[in-house]
Amino acid sequence: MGKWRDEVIESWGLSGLLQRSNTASLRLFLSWGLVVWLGYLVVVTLFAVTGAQLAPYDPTAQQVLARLMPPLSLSSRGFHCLGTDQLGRDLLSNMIAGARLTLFIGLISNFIGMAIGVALGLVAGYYGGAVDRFVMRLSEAQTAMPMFLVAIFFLTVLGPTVLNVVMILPTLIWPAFARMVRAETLRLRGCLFVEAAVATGATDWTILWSNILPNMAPRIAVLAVIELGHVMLAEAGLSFLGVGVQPPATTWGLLIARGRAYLAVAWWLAIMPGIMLGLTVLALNMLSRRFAATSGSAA
Amino acid sequence: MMRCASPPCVPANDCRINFLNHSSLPVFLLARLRDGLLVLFLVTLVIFVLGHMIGDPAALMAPVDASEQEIARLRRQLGLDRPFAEQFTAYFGSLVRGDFGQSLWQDRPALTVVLEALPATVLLTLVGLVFAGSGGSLLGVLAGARPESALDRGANFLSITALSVPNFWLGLLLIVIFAVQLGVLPTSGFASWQGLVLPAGALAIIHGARVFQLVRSATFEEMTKPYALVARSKGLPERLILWKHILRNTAVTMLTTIGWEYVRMMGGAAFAIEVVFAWPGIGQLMINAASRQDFPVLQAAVIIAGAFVIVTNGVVDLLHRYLDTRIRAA
Amino acid sequence: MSDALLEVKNLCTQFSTANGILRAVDGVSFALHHRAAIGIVGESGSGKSVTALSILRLFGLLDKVVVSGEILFDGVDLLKLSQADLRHIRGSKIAMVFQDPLTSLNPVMPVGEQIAETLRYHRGLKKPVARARTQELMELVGIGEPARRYDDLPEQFSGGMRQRIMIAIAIACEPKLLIADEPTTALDVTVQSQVLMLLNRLRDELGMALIMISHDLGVIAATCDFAQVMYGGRVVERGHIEEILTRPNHPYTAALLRLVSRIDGPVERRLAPIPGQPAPVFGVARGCCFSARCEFAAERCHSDDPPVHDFGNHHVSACWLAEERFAAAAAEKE
Repeated sequence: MGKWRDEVIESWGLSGLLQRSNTASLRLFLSWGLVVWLGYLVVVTLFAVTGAQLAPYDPTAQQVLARLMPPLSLSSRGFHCLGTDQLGRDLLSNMIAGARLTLFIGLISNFIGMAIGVALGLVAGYYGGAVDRFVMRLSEAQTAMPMFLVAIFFLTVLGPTVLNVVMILPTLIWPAFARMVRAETLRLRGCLFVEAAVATGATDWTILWSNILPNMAPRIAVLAVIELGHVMLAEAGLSFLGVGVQPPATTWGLLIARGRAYLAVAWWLAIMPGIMLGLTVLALNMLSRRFAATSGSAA
Repeated sequence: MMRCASPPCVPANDCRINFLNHSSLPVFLLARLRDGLLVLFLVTLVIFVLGHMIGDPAALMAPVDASEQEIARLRRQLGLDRPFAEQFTAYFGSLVRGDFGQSLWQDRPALTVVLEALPATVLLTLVGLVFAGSGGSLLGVLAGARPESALDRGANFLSITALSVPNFWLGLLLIVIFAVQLGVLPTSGFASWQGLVLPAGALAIIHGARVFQLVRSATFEEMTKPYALVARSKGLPERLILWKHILRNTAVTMLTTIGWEYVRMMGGAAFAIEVVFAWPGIGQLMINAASRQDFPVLQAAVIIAGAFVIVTNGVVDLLHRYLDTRIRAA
Repeated sequence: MSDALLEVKNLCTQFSTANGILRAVDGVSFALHHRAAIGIVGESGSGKSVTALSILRLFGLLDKVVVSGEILFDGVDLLKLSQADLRHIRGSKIAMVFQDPLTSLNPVMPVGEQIAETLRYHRGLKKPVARARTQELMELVGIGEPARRYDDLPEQFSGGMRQRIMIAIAIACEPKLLIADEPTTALDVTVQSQVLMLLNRLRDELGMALIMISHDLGVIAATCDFAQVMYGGRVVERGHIEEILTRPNHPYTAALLRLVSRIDGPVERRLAPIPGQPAPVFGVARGCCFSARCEFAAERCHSDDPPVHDFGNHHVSACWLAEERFAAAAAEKE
């Protein structure tokens, strides 16, 4: 594995671009397991980006004669890798089609939550005082609330649209970012390079953006990957409960909900999309752990 | 020349934590009570704003074929055109009196409906918690004491997997395996104790996985500390070191983690499981109420669940502090 | 010398790390008699602590270690003992005192219990008997009001008192050999001498042998009969403490002595630090381990590993230059 790693790094010219320590970190980071997870995520992203084009069949094409066929079965249309649903639609194609909206909602919500959390954390940590107390109280209060239930309520009142889902999901994750960023800001604020920046007359904004923030970028990245998993699971939960995305849009959570009615006769309908979602979140978790372990020494 | 951007070294929040940890018990209790009530107030405010100001209760409560005028009249009747502060005060006042409104769907007080569903949820979550806590802690200690062993690697991977899958999906999987394929356990219902096994099991697996993670890392951290090496140099067997020395130091982590998992459960995680297994608890109630647009019941459910979460948080904090002082004074 | 209490023969301790095999201890041999005291001195990374830990095979949970050689204690090879047998030796026949008493004591367990534990496990004493004996021990090491302080937690004691507790734990079962790994490094200077005097007194009263590990020659001079200088995982010199301090036979020892500032020395004299950094030993090392930083290094020193040469009177040293000068002096005499 080591030799292969080295070859990859050499052939991509990365050793020239990266400093020696970064190359070493990259070597530590890559391993067979990681390559598998990364590959899986690349495939899922491909699904999301290309929509249903990579799907073997049209996800909405019904074929009533081929309904509820188990995985690895053959219908008049062809080979169904993961079986068909109650209307004869190919499950794998639906799962591929569902990747787009699932990832879209997940990434956008994650990004918004991260932006809010990081901004509030920076401000709280840097300025301290009343601002800090306010932000911390707010985040504590929110963690003490049953936010998931509030989200259900929110979506019931305002209607289960994609927009509303994307609005409410960030509220579930911003406290985690805010807490971490605040702690890091407090730690870095006392560092010498910040004093130096202040002494040279840099504005608060410059200090935060150019000096403090880059130092915590690895830790923010690790947390972002973890929280992406959380957000995707939360969206699946909301969709499953019927207050999230509504048909005809598909997400993996919705597919699981759809398959639930046929659990006794066609278990694959509910289980397979869950496996895809679970693998995605698992890949994210594994990557973030490995990244945290190897960049922790560099940070 | 040095501009000091903010007040001195100890940041505000650490002051608060220090205050909470080192102040006397009555002061601590009062502070926690105040915090808890504040959050509860916040929850009711958020629910109120969402329900009354953003949503349109009049339109939802009126019969389907009502005209605009009739809806408007209903609005005036319900006092929905009064200023915000007045509405909220009235609302909060009625909450305090125990009046959560009338269920639109069942035509009974919403609070009654919710309180009827509460015991089922409490039963399920407590049973799930007991297994999650004991299983997760035991495995966590064993795995933390033997790092890089087969047990450690295997259990760690399984726990990460358990935390990566949707909890309702795990419930469905359990149903498929045990109820459908093996026919061993019933898929739903409150009927007999067998009906409790699968849903509690699903909760136990997922929440136990998180307990496992935290207990494992805490145990490992303690095992690598100097006092463990000293204990080994005294010639004490590993078993004694683990269960006598290490456990004392990880006990607090264990108990507080278990407490927080309960908070997570009551904060929504258990409710998806209830829906999957048709368990007649608050989660199931909420989804039914949501589909029927029964806002009073929905509101009451969120607030009651919120109260539970807040109380549990407070209890965990109290436990943490009590254990800390007791261990320190032991 | 079969009547030695401890005989270490060619001890090699290797750690498998991400960067390769680290030879922390590379062929160390020495002997220690009953009631004798030897001090092992060296910089960080010289292998002195690992030597001590290797005797009792006390390594970290995740350390991948290979220990080879022989460690004869009362005639028994410790390296060949099973874990169960080794546990009988630890704490009862050979005991250790560690560097930082704050982190070396369990923070949530009363100190009396931590001392009594050894007695109950090794001697099988019942609780009340162990408690009484523990209080005697606490008095012995100089902790006042033992009855009251039995139930106190480590954080309620000062650094010096905590170290006394550690010593009480170590001597509880009257071991034949006490290994002290930098016992005074974490303490204030005034407390240091108290602890060292306590160790000396206990050594006399209990008839223990002592291995004292320190980077401070003063500490070793105060407590030991012999001194062993280590560098790069190897022994570079060993001898009676007076000989080492006054007539060192190795450039490294001489350099260390130069670093000791003397209160009666000339004021203008500057401290002369040894140039270079001690490097951890990965892979196979050729030549003298100190040759990279030695001011007297010759060609031979870089390529050939100097053998340990006996200068008589228990004074040994591993240096080509010293050996040559000795040979030259011996030739002159004839």
